[in-house]
Amino acid sequence: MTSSALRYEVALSAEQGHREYQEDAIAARFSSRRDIGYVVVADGMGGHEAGDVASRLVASSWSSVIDRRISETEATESTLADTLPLAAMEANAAIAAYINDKQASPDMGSTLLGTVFYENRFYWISIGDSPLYLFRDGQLIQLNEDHSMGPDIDRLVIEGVLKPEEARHHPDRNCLTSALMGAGISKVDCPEDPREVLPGDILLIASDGLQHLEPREIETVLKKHQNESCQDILDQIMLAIRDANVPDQDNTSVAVVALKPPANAAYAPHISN
Amino acid sequence: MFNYKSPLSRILEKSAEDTPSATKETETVVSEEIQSRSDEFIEDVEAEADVAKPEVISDQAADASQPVESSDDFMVLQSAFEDDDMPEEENIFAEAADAENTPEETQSEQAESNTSMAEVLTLMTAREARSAIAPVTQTQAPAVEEVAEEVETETLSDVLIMPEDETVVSQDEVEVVAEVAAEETVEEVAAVLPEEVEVEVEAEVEAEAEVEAPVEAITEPVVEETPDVAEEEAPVPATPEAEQAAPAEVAAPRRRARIKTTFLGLDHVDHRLNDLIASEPVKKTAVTTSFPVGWLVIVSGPGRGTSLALTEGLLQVGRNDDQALQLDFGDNGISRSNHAVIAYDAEERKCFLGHGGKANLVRLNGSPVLSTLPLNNGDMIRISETTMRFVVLCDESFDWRDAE
Repeated sequence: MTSSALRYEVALSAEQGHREYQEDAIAARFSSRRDIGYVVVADGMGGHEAGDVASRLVASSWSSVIDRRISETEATESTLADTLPLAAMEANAAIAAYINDKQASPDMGSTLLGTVFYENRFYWISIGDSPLYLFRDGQLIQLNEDHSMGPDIDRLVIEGVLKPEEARHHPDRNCLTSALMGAGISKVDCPEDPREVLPGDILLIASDGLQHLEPREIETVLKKHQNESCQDILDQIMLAIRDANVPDQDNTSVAVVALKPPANAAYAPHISN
Repeated sequence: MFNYKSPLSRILEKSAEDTPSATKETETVVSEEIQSRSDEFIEDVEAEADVAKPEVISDQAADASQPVESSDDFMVLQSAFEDDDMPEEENIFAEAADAENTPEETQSEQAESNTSMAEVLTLMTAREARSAIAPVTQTQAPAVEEVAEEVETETLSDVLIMPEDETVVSQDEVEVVAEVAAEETVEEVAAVLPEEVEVEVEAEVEAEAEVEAPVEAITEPVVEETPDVAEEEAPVPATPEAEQAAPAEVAAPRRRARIKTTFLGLDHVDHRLNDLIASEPVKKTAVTTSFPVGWLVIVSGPGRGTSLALTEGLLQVGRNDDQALQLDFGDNGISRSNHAVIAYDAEERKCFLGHGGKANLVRLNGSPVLSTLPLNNGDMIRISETTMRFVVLCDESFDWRDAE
């Protein structure tokens, strides 16, 4: 593993699209000394002064718990990994407290997609439908569970109940089956074991606005630009979304993370694998 | 999720919801129980306005070189840890945060401070964020780091895999126990009645039973129950059990050859087994009258092989002896009190599992428990290094209220 010769590069973007409000929140932080960092995406729901508040609450309270844990010098990988769900509980509690204190709409809520990077490994917690994609060897795969009706609707296509075209624009498609709403959380995707980041891998941590592009379209963009910087890759993705010209383009937040050779390296690092 | 309404479940729901937040004064009772971890939380809630904000402001303060402000109405936050001594950073930013947000510092609700924090958030457009690309690995000693990393990876994967393997193995074993338990309690009791006649036969069978010694080792706890019945000469228990005896009798001959009915004819049992049987009857009597709704059986980790009866009410799981479900077998990763809660909801006839708000996770079938979840037969609950299998007694088909 040559990861010690490589370092994490990350680029973030958030676009409001054609929506009235920005209900996405995205945040990232990486240590300059250690191979530790995180990216969090939250996609709120409930409209103005609800969805936007919820996503910010989730992103900020989740990341502040992670911050706290990372700042503990003795924090081990396993305690850090355990912190992902604990931080999610904090985020959920923050929403509950907000709803309670502000008499806010109980319909406010948010997805949470939190990733923590530790050396050349990463963990995630996912509640909702914010996708985590891994691009490796020219192929794009979604790593996390999709807690929306999408998978159910796709199953109906396989069963012949729905036509593919009907399924694609099904009104229930974006209906969430799990989210942080300050109450019970029906589904949590939080694998115990980490995944490895290999040189050449590209991770996309995003809100579902990214899915205005079909996975194949994202794949095409990544194939073409995979050797460029994360920021350039991100620019190309955002460009592709704009070019798709979706009339009702949703809020779109995307983070691109990859192991890249240090820009100011005095040598070209040898990449094995 | 919370569509069940019994008072019990409301208790459970409330505790599950309230404990992690612990932000309000009215929750002092709960938060006191939460002890160390949540004390941290409480402090941090106060400090959070500072902890959270600084991080945000860190962009402005620390990365002064970068363009940070944007009028766009969205939140993008990207920052790098300057170095590892966070406290120092925090202090600096705390001042900055105070200066900017004096009105709503300290006690103001977490939500509020977070909201305001969101407003203070450094906003960066995609392009502006360009220069914020965060370098991560600082290679002071690449070679050494590399080696260390590889070693760590190896040992880590070992550690991670082991509990799984163990779980698989022990799962099988417990299934055996569960099966045997289910069968034997009925069968052997059933056997009590026709027993005296068969004593001679049993003596022969005994040899076989002893050959099966390994199996016995597992089934012993169950077997012990039987002598209780036998010793009491079963006038009292005979009444309910006689009902069960009827159907069981049909299969009795086959089973008697297989299981240790030999214990029942005490005359012919050897002393070793006799002693074993006589050793702890009192405890078992207590167990039989607890009206359990189910059991937790430790299948992996310290205390492996221990079963805990679940009764109605809100049961806290912890190491202290005041905990309804005490797990004090040497796993110090388990909190002293209220690491997890289990409660039976008579309305839904289900047990529910909740998180107590501790620093350590509770996992249900590998997935972290973030809110109250229903338990199903065979579910695996893991707290720290201790894995328990949940075994159901009360469900749609049986509840103690039915029997009355």
